[in-house]
Amino acid sequence: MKRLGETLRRWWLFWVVLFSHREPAYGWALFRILIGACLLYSLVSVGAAGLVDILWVDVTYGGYRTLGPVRVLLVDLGPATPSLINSIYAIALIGSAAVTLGIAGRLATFATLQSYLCLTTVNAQTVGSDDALLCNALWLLFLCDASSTLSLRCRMRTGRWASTASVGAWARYLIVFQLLVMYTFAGLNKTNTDWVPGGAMDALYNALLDTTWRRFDMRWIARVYPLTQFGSAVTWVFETSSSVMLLVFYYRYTRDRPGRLRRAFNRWDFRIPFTIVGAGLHLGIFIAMDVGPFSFVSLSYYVCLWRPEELRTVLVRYSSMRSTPPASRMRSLP
Amino acid sequence: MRPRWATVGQPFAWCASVRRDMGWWPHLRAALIGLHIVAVVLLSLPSSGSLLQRRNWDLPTTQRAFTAIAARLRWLGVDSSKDFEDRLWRFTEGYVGVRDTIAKPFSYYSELAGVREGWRMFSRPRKHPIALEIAVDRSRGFQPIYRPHSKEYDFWGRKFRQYRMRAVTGGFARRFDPSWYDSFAKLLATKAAEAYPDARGIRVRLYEWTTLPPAEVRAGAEPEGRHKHYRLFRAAALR
Repeated sequence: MKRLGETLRRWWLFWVVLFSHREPAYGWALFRILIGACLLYSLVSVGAAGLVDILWVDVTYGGYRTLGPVRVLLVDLGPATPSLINSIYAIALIGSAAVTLGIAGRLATFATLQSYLCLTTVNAQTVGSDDALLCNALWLLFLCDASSTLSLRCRMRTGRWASTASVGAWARYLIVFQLLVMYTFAGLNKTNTDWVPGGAMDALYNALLDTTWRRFDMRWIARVYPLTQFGSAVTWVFETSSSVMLLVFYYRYTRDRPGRLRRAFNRWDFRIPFTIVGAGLHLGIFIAMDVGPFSFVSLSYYVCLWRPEELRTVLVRYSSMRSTPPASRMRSLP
Repeated sequence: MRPRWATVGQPFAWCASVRRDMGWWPHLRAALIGLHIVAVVLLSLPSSGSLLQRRNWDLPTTQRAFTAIAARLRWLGVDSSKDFEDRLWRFTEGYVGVRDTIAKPFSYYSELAGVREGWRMFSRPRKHPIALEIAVDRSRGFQPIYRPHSKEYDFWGRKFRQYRMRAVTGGFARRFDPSWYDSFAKLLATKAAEAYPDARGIRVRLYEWTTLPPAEVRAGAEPEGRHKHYRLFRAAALR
């Protein structure tokens, strides 16, 4: 019993220390900018198409269906009238711009979250998976402020766009967790023969031929039908097995401890194949279908798979490659 | 950064030193993060809203899945007789009861913080897609003014191409609510009546077809479907 208590205590302290790490803030700030841009797209595209008063306003006031009362912070604000909805839309739009630019910090993030949440939940028929991802991201951006660097606030305070500020790494870990949960449960929801290897695996074929979402005529996919079956199977395997990435991260974190499985996992950086398959999946969706900013919101989450130092290394390497003249680059080749 | 405890030989032996220099806040934060994680997982579990809808169970896609699962169970030697679906329904009812009870305390957190998860994208791709059609009668019978992906009939095209509007029109294939459809059709008819002052009547309807197998698509066959859910409006009454 005493031994069990000691083990539990050690696991608890492991948990506490895991979420006590700090890291440079620019990784989290980059995530903030990407999420802010996706929010802006999500809102501006509705406004530019003239759909605010149609999708989010009650039928009595010009919308297309009966809607429940508008709720903010568990409080009913009354029916979805054009004036109320447009006010909330304006707050969400200004807030999204503030989040992207990094002004007003947590206040702007919280106002944006509440207004966006209110808009996207007032009509359940128009809510998308990207809305859930955006709200989850905003909540964590509110809890862990991301405007200390790569922001207008940093510029105004220090005269520079970037600072050496640090943030808790826990928020980034939670974003990674959210991404993996999203994939895992999406995979578990696809347990029918349309997706599962061994079944018809015609899910992608049928999805791409559905007029609702496709961008252009996709009948040509009938000629590459086996490829769509392969794509269905890969998608399902990728999604259902994505929770294994939790083990990957745990083993990376405890890489100095012994164990054959740990060594095997740490032999390769599994984040790279995970990112390649995931990015391929989302870019494929983006090219073939118009499902809104979903692909870009998901890919924004991928930024959090990497530590800020790793992101900086990649960016520095990329920028030095771009700034190096092609001739000298060739000379450096072995 | 090298984890502090990783340098110590015994697993988690670093805890003793960590415990001394930690205040109460890291512990509280870790506890709150734990609750957040529990909330995210619980709220991601399929809820009563999606599971206990009999019409979802009666969908051809779902029925095909049941048949396939029952066949696999039989292959494994498990008795999956005719009441397989009823037993599954009872099991689902039990599961939903437990899920909803456990998740209830977190529902306020979800509503307040927007913490939710619901990516089921194309979990059951439709094999019977639908397309919205709008037509106006301008003394020469009904002529289409909107068809999806048509450059010729593109009334309100920009609106219909917006992804949230796609969700609305496509949603009628997944869940047809007559009252929503009626008010949606009336709104479209009103806008069409304003845009076409000489129109006498407006017709809104859905076209449903079955996705053809690849061999038939390759052979150039066109799917034959049927129109349904006609809504007719007198334009004068809408202006």
